[in-house]
Amino acid sequence: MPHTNRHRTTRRTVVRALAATLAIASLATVGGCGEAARAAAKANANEITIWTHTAGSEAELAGVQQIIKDYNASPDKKATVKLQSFPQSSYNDSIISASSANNLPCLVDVDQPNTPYWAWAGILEPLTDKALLERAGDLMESGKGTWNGDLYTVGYFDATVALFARKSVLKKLGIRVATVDEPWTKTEMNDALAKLKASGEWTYPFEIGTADNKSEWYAYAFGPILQSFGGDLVNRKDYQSSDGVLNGKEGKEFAHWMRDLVAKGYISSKGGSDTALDFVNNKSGLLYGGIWSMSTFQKYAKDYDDIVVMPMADFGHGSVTGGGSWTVGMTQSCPNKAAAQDYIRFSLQDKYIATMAKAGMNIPTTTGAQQLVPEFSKGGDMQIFTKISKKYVKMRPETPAYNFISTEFRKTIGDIMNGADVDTWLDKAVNHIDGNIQGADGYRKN
Amino acid sequence: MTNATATSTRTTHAKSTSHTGRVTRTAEQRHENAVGWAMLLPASILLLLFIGIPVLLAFGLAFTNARTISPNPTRFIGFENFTRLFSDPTFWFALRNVAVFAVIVVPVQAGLGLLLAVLINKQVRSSVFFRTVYFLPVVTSMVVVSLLWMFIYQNDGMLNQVIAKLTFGHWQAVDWLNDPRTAMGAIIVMSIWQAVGQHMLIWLSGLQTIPGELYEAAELDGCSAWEQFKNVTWPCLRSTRNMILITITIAAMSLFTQINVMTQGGPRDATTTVVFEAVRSGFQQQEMGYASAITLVFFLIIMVITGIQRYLTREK
Repeated sequence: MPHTNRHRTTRRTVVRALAATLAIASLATVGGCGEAARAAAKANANEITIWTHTAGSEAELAGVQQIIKDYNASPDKKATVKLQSFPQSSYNDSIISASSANNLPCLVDVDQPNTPYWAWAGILEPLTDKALLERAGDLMESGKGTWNGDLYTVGYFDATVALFARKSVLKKLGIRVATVDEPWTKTEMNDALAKLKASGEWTYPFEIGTADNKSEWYAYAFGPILQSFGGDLVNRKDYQSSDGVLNGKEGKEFAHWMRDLVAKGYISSKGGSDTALDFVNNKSGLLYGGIWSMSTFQKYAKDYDDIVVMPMADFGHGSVTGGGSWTVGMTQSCPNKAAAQDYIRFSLQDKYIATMAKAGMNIPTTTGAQQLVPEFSKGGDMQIFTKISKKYVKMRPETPAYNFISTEFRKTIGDIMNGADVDTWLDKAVNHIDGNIQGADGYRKN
Repeated sequence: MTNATATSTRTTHAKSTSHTGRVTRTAEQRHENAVGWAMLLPASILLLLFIGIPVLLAFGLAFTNARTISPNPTRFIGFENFTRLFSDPTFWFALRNVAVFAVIVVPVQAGLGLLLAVLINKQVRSSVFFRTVYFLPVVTSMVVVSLLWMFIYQNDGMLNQVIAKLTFGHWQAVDWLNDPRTAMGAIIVMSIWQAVGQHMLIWLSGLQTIPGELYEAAELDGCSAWEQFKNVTWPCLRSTRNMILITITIAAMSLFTQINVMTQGGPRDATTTVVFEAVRSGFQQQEMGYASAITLVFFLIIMVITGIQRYLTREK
């Protein structure tokens, strides 16, 4: 009796185990189909989704939500827009994986320098809607993402970089206050650093954000210095190689200058994590930072009026400043391209551009919107950034290889500032970059 | 355990019904086999799906120019990835770093684990407390541990502060993780601290399988504590030792989390590792083919090392 029971139990167990496995397997497949079916149904139901990088930045998120709310409430809407926001640090990875899984939404945020890469990879579709293109014509150049002559993305704001100092400190040490029309020369820059260091007031008088070594910062902020020296990240003639521009004479000069900043004790090779706040607390005498530092100053600096904004020094080939910020684009897989472009056009109204720009204290991309933000309108204390950007902006290389170049540049300059040999390290970086470009067949479309 | 129970049931059952015994036994064996296979099935499917197929895919991809996203079809490029890899100084740095890490971590961590295990194997009341304390870092996620130690290693972090206090301010603060000379050492110390508890536990289970009579006999023969350890404990821990050796080696070779959180391979490639380079090329730079080539080479290296270890520790 016991053994027959046992038999039955075993048989039942086997059956159950098999059934469970089957059930799980079928659930998985059905689940997969269901997902696809649901996605398709959604597309047909005239519902489009936008992915943004704004989770974690409340003001910008609220701005997007407002635009979407207004669009969905407007009588002329061509589809209902839905929002899905991601934290910025994982945003690009999410897009890449969603793209390889064929799971992209209709509209996506794009960091402007990524535009060519995503366009090349077939993620983005050029914008063609007439009304939209007409409106895009009003945007400043650095607010647009283009590749091969096509417009892919448009932005509400642009950011830039600048030097920040205290007027009183400069005066005390006998350093000239640089202006937009007359930035410091290389000699003046070195002289200023030496004087700041000699004053003994700071362990590291200069802060350039070296701790920010996981993001775009190195390429965005130090690339312009390289360009001002006369070098570049990649040869822009055909974007096929970095040889001779990154590791040429000018590139090496730049790298030595960067390394000397650490060697002479001007900067720490691993600075503070909040450079703007450190500057407010007088942990550094001179700050090379983003336009967004201003919002920290406005909030915390008691001597706000003493802080002066200057363009980065001219190292021989003119002062250069970074440009290109977050933009919006449309995906190739979007089933309702008319609606997607209609939404983008709708969102480019001056009032929305103003809200979005104000959220991060960035430069609004239209003159109309600039009038709506007091800080950027005539006499506003942020207007100097508009001037710096207009006069000195040099966009990051518009090539699909940029993503790779940026990670390589970041690592190389970081290592060089930590004392690595300039010649070998730059050659190594060029070797890697050229290898990547060749490996991707020159980033041409076959 | 289960096997033993099954066999004993079968014998009793065979005795009670001797005339139909043979028939039932084969039928039952078949059922037991079926149950065995069914139980194996879920694990095998999952292993195949998430280990087997990806490994085979990686081996195939290593010979192509595959990218995570690309408009162009993937193309077979022969050994190009490998020539590029072997001509890249960063890869050799990575290999050197992993070798240094393994050579130091394997003996130190295993040794320290054994020492701790022997210390708390004594049946005293506080042993449970110490066991818990030593095991605490193991149950903490490596990411959390890495973040904590980043603060400890900072320029104005705890380590520098403590040393400064101890030397009455004669200590020049060291930026442990940002100095090529100290970065790897700092990571080694932290890694050993984090993982030693786990190996202590494995050693402990090994120690507790040694029959007490052996120690009693050794004591009667007048052996000192050291002689007891040398002649009883050490030989009896043979299989535990082999297992620990191989698991620590593999874990040490695949060093990644600490690097990813703490140093990103820097400064000056002083802490980059093979796995970190693979993840960097595959995910940050989207060169799947190249990353697969790295993992293939890494796989072969681990195979060879494990093979050598198996050969050296084989039953003679």
